[in-house]
Amino acid sequence: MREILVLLKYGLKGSGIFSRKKRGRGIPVVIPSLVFVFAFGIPMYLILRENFSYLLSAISSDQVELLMSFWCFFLTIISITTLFPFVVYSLIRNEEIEMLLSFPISRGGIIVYQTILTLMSESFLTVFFLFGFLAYTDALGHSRMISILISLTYILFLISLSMLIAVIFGRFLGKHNARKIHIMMYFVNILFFVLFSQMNPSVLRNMSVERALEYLAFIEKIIMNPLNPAYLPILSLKHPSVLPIMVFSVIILFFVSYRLSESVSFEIVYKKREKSEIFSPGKAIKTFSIFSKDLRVFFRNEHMVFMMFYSIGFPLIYVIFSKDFSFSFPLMIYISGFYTALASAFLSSQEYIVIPLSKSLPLKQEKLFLPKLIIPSFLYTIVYIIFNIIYILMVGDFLILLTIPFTFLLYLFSSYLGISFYLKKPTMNTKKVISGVRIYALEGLVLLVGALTSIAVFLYVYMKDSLVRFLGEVFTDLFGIALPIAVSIFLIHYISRGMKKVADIFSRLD
Amino acid sequence: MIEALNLVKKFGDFTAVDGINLKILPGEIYGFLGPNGAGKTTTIRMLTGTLKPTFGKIRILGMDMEDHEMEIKRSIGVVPEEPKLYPYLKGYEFLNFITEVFREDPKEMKRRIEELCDAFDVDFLERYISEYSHGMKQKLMVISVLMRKPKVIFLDEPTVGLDAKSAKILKMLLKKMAEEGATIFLTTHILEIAEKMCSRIGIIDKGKLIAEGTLEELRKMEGEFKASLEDLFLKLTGQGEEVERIVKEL
Repeated sequence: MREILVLLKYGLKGSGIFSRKKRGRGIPVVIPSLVFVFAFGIPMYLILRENFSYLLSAISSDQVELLMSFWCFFLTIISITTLFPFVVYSLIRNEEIEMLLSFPISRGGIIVYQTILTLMSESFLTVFFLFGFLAYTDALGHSRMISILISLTYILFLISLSMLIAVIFGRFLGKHNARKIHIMMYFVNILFFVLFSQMNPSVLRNMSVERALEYLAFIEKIIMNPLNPAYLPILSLKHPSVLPIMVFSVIILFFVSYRLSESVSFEIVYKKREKSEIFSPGKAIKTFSIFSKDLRVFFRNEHMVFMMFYSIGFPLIYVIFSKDFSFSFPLMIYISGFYTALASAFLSSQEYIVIPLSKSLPLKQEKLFLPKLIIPSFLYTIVYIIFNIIYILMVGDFLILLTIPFTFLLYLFSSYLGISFYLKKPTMNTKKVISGVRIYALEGLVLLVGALTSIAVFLYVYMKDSLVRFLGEVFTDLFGIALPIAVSIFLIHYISRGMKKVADIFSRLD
Repeated sequence: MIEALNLVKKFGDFTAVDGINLKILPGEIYGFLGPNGAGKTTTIRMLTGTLKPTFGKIRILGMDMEDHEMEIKRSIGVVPEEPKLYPYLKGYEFLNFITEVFREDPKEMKRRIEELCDAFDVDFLERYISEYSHGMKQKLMVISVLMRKPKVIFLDEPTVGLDAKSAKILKMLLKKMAEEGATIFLTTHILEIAEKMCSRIGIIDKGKLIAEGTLEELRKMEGEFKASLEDLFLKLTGQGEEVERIVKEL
């Protein structure tokens, strides 16, 4: 126990020897978390208590309980899917773990320490649960002390459960897979959030009374099931024997995960395969070897994959909430254009960090950088086409397809900017390939060229009347047809000339 | 064959390599020695086409570097000082990549890789390179070069990071390849390696080639007939007396 406290003392202080991200300048990392907890938690508590009091006077307490159980269920899933991947990821051999393993500290202690630090960085979970639950119990008139005790026990329960899952996953996950799980869980969280938002009263409004009752009964059966751990806090308000069970579960879970963690090697377990099974080069053309290599690199970087999903996910969520596509198209074009540039910069960085090897390959520099231009533009265009298909399925209008060639060109231009910006100021830090003023310049250029090409076509097709009112007939045609075509021709010329320069810049790099 | 004629490399006002002339014949193992910052790596980078010389001519296997850069790169093998490899690839994917980029015969490469993996105790090809230690990367780099049996091989500190067995195997393999007609150009700070392996030695200091020849020729040149390569090296680079003074003061 003492060792964990010592670790936390330095870890939460943000000591330089601990390599966690976002260390403050002398400010203990625990302080921003605490500030956030109270600054966000207290107003949330006041609003929710008011809401619960109103609901209790307007509908039956069973219905309010269902609502609160739903809230607990939602937060439990989000907490576990957020906490455990973070813990697994932090356990897979990073600098800090390497160092801690050389100290006389038990492995269990390291895992507890990492879990607590993770919880501190994800303090919004504590806020949502603690203050939401307190608002509910206060509105019901329960003892505040008991409510706080129940909330804290449940938070500990979530930590222990996440720790156990993390330890189990940590036994067989490598660094790459831990990263993938980490990102995958982001998507699970987003998906769950969207699903949760769909289970609201507006859904019930569209159902018949019988169907709505069936639906509610089904939800109740899952959410208010005594075997559902997420229902434990609510249940413990009704039955005093549940709290000791929760405490006991926390102790059991904690010790099981602590004991299991003692055998975690923090190493990756490999399955051996026959060499002949794994080595299978094809008679590929050289350029395609670079393409396939870069494709692999792209899909193995979790941020690249996340960015691609985000570029379609975010506009889609917007559409789900607003039922409006007119803003989501420009939004998607802008986000994707920017991410295309970052992806190309990232792929270029992969050549720079191995520059002695890249330069010794029997390949012209143009060929080496062509996949960096094509792959991100092509992949983001596919994502854009998928978004178009969703639009066609929902709205039934095919005219949107006219924007695809312009969008592809915009992405090619963004890719070129990404490569060019990176090579003009290359860095070994592949997590931050473009930084500072260049980020703003990149955003500005993508937005500008996007507005002059695909967004102009989009506006011309869907908002022509408004444009005519504003610009007049002739200028509207110039804006919606002539301008995008002229800019596109210029872009093709600019990119093809620029790629020759890119090869030249790379050949001069050391 | 490796030829360099009056090779010069300047970085701004600083001259890293200053008029070097080299002629290394097939079957030779040429040891290129020098203190830190003498210009060894810069020379290797120019000879392998990864750095353009400010002045001078390079001919590899009778081909001019300026006109036949790609053909030269396809025919040579380079083991750089730092084994920097694509971190997101697995070991075997990297070897696949090299096979395809260099247009080698996949069947022949597969056989060679299996032999070399056995020789260097490599059983980690299905791991991601980002998870490799320095020694593991070095082994992969060495395999990726030796599997192609290039006619000219450049190695910059090849034994750094290798375990004793692998280092010994590498040295013996290089000797065997030289006997079969390959030209080997290597730099090392471990002078015993150069003494035992190299048929000829060149010593570079402050960008200039200050001595060149077999070990016997270097001894004759300095009039030290029983001196070790280490003693000769320190004497030639003017570091011998300095070493003695430092040790005395300590």
